[in-house]
Amino acid sequence: VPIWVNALYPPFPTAARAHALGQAVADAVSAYPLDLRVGVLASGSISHEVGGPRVNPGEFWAVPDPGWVDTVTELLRAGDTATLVEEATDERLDAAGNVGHELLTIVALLGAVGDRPTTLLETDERLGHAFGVWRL
Amino acid sequence: VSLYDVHLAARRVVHEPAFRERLARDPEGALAEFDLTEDERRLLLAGEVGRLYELGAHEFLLMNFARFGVLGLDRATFSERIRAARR
Repeated sequence: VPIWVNALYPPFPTAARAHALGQAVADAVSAYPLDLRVGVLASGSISHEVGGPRVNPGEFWAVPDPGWVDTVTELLRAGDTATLVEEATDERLDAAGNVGHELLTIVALLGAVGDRPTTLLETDERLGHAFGVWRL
Repeated sequence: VSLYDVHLAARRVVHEPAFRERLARDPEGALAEFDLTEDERRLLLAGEVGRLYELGAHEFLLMNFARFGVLGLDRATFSERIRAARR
């Protein structure tokens, strides 16, 4: 079941709304009559600029805010979703790059998995991405 | 129609190899079929992606011209011109 969270063109949903969307997904999964093994996947960057004014010289891309990648991955490791939702303001995500709002997909995933630390998290600092797994 | 046809040309570069070849060979002829303002036409032919961005064209789509090396653009010129644009 694909779900599209707008992360590319304003107006964007708030982080609180994205989180609530994930909670609704978890509720729907719980309410489903069959006993299935369910995976929830989200895809999005943390800090990335694609083709916009903040790209690196000679490149199509850049990581405008590596510090934000550190902040986000620390909060994911700690399972501190409330702080992440609070800090992921529209301004903050805009400063992270022209696809910075893609963090909203990860925030939605957190709504679905609940407040728990990542089972596995690997950061790719060069690209401003991370790969995370939450095993419930 | 302003901007819409700039975006349309940028999309067709990716999806229509015949259009891409025509745009590379005869940019003015290839762009003639689009409903562009004079400014848009002039800026496209000059590969001025920074100015087009400032007019409201989307960077993801503008990037297509550089990806396929048309309108005198490549990665280096695209980067230089988009970096000079006001956000």
